[in-house]
Amino acid sequence: MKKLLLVFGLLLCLAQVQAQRSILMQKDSLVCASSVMLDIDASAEYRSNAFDNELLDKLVFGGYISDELSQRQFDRISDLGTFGAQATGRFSFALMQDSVFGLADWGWQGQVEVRNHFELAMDGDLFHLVFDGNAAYAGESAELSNFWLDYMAYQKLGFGLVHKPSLSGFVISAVNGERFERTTILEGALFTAEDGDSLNLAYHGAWMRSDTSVIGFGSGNGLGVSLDGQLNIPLQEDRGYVTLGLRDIGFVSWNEASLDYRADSSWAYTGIPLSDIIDDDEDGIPNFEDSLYYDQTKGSMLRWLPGSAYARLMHRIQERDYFEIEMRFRPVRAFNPLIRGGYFFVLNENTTLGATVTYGGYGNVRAGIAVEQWVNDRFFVAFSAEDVVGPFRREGLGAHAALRLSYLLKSHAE
Amino acid sequence: MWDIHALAPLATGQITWTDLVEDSLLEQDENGLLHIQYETDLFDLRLDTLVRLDDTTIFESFTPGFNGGPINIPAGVEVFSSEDDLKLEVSSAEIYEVAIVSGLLTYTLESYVGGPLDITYDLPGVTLGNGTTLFLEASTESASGDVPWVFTGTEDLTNANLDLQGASGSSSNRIAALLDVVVSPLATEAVPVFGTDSVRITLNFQDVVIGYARGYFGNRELDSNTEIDFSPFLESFGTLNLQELSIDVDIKNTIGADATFRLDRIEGVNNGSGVELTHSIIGDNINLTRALDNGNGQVTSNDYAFLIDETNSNITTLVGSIPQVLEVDAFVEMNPLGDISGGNDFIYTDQPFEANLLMDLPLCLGTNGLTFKDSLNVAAFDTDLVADAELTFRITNSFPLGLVSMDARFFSDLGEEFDVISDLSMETGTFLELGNVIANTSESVQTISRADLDIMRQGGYIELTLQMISSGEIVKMSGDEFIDVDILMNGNIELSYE
Repeated sequence: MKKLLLVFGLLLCLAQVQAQRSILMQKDSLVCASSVMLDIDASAEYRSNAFDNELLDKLVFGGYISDELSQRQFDRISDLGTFGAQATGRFSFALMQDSVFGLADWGWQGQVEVRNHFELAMDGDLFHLVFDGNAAYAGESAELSNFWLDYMAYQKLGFGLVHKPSLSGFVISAVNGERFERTTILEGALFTAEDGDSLNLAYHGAWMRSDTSVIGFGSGNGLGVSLDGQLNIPLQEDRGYVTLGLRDIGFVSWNEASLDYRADSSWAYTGIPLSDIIDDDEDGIPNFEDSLYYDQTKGSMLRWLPGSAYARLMHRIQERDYFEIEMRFRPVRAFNPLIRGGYFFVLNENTTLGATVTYGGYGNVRAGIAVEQWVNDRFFVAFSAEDVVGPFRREGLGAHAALRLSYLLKSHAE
Repeated sequence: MWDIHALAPLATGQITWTDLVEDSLLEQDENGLLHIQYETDLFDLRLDTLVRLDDTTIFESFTPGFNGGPINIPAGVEVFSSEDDLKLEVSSAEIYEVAIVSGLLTYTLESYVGGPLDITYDLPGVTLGNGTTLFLEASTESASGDVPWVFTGTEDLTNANLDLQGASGSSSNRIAALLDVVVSPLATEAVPVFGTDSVRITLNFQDVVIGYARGYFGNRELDSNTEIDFSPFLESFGTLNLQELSIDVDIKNTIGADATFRLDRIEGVNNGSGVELTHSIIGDNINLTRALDNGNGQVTSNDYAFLIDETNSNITTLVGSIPQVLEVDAFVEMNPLGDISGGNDFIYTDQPFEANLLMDLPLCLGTNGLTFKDSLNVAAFDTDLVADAELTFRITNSFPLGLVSMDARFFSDLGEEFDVISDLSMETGTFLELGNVIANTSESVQTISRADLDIMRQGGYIELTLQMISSGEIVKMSGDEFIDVDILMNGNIELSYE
């Protein structure tokens, strides 16, 4: 567990946040008055609705996964077990004094971003097969359908516009595709005969991956484009904002060396032929992979980035407090619509404290905190954690943290 | 790292007669009874055993027959001539006539005479495939000092006949050769010939294959020691109650020479101890008179056959002892009375002297306890599999023989030994009638530990011991019998990933 927390902390150092509530709700005038706003955002998260910290710890750092531990995971999977993890680091700037084509309310902005994203969805039967075996399915079929695994690592360099009064804006980025892996099983089942004398596997799915000959940070295995943007709509009487946003809407065209394995077949297994075990021909034990039928192609392929869309309402309650409701969507089976509710209290002119409750995404209900602090109206620090309890429990279902450091350069007028 | 509880088939297979006995040895009779038939040649006395013409080089050098010189010999005048026999190395026999299937004759004529010559070299005993006799001729030019004038050529000996009786017509292994050397009639001046001048001829017989030979093949004695691999198993103990077992011995003398054949010993050997066949034919000489040559390759052979069975021998006891090897000693003597054909022995390549043994073993048998032992190589498992499991051996047997027990001991390449399977019994098939047996299924559960698997996956061999019975009854096999083996695994497998 300690190792897991340590790694999570390191990921956080690389990684982005939407922790800008107090900028919008309190200090938007400061931002508008500055010449440049510089930001470093970092966020890291892993979250599941079933797979807990102890399992992840064993899988990542080794150790024995007991029957009790695997059963605990299986018991949590009611429909689909989901898991997601991401680490993002971003440096961005916004030029607040310049105008754009004579429009004084608009300025230029840009960003450099590094992102790793992983998500997984599997039926409980598949989890059970992998971690407990097939014996419990004697005489039955174990369902393998609806399996989804997606991993993508990429970097972005982009420029765009910012609407200074509302801090709305967009960035269009060129994307360098470093690596991707995707496995899907659309339909699949493993039937185990009652007495175990045969196995029948039906499988219909695909496995795609980027060029495996060039790997590592910054590897250029694909090129793409993405759009990030948000629209902040102020409420009347300065009561808050409605925000509509898009993130990572785009694609990468992976190069000609990308691999695509596709299968739609079945395989019946009744045992290794004795003649192969009794090594008359010295060919040895046959390779099971040779028995599985699949098509392999190599070539360029286009894949969507792990994009999402969100909507948020921040509404003042009294002068010193406000609430937030956010919904986030990502159209894949591993990600359920996310809903977050939060209450924020402005402790003093520079400090805001908040508490959040989140449900959905890759996991279930979790309670979080947020702290935002201004220093000398120049430095801004924001930290939030979606789940304050989970990371410290063996049975916890994930961890999340986001950190933002901002600095406002003074305008010449000052 | 974690354990999964797996239920899966591990191995499957079917054992039939063709797994136990080579397919070509199995024969089903008209009643549907399966026979194992071992057939072997005790003697296969082919022509090349008696007559063989190895690659041979014959070198002849001819000189004028005087000292000194030069003597100037005018155009058209003979320098010298010769009539000689060339001796061929035709094994040790005295051969008068040979028909060649294929071969080559390469020849070289060399003249050391300082002027043009006409040389003819006639081999009247060599009749080529086109019906002409071999006649070599060459018109030479003058030798240049010590450097001879050389002429080479090749003759195809396919379908050629060699008369090996020489110029006299009464020799053997010899070809008549006539040489004539004259000064070329076209020579413009007399040719100076020295006593040291010579004409040299080299004949080289290559790759000669003989199809027929006539002569006297000599008095020759030949022994045969044959071993028949009688059992598919390395070791076996116990007795079999066999019925209608027989051995046919057929001797066919297609050679134009008298022969005496004798079967000296037939012995079944099992682990060093043996049972010898007792039969009146053992040790007795069988005289076979020479075959008749009807011309055009047609031969009337002189044959002899005898049957060894349970009525005239102890063959049932011999084979019932389950020998691994059947040892057969035989003897044949050619021309035991000498050259009584007056040099007219003959042999055709495609019709050798043969003595064949055919053992017919109808699979109509019973046993009260028969143990087979064998060693089977086991391939190495290319995996890091770690598991402990129960192995269920499901054996479906349609052989009307029951397996009382089966034990397997595994020996690793490092010499480590441990039990894999012990005391595995199998029900007998229920025999209704020939070709109609109900297969019965038995199951036995054995356990295998992670430590066992650690050793096994390195590969090695299994020493297998099977004990079988037929409940004292005589059972008949149709060849359709089988044993289905399914090994099912129910156990824990350790999984990990890197």
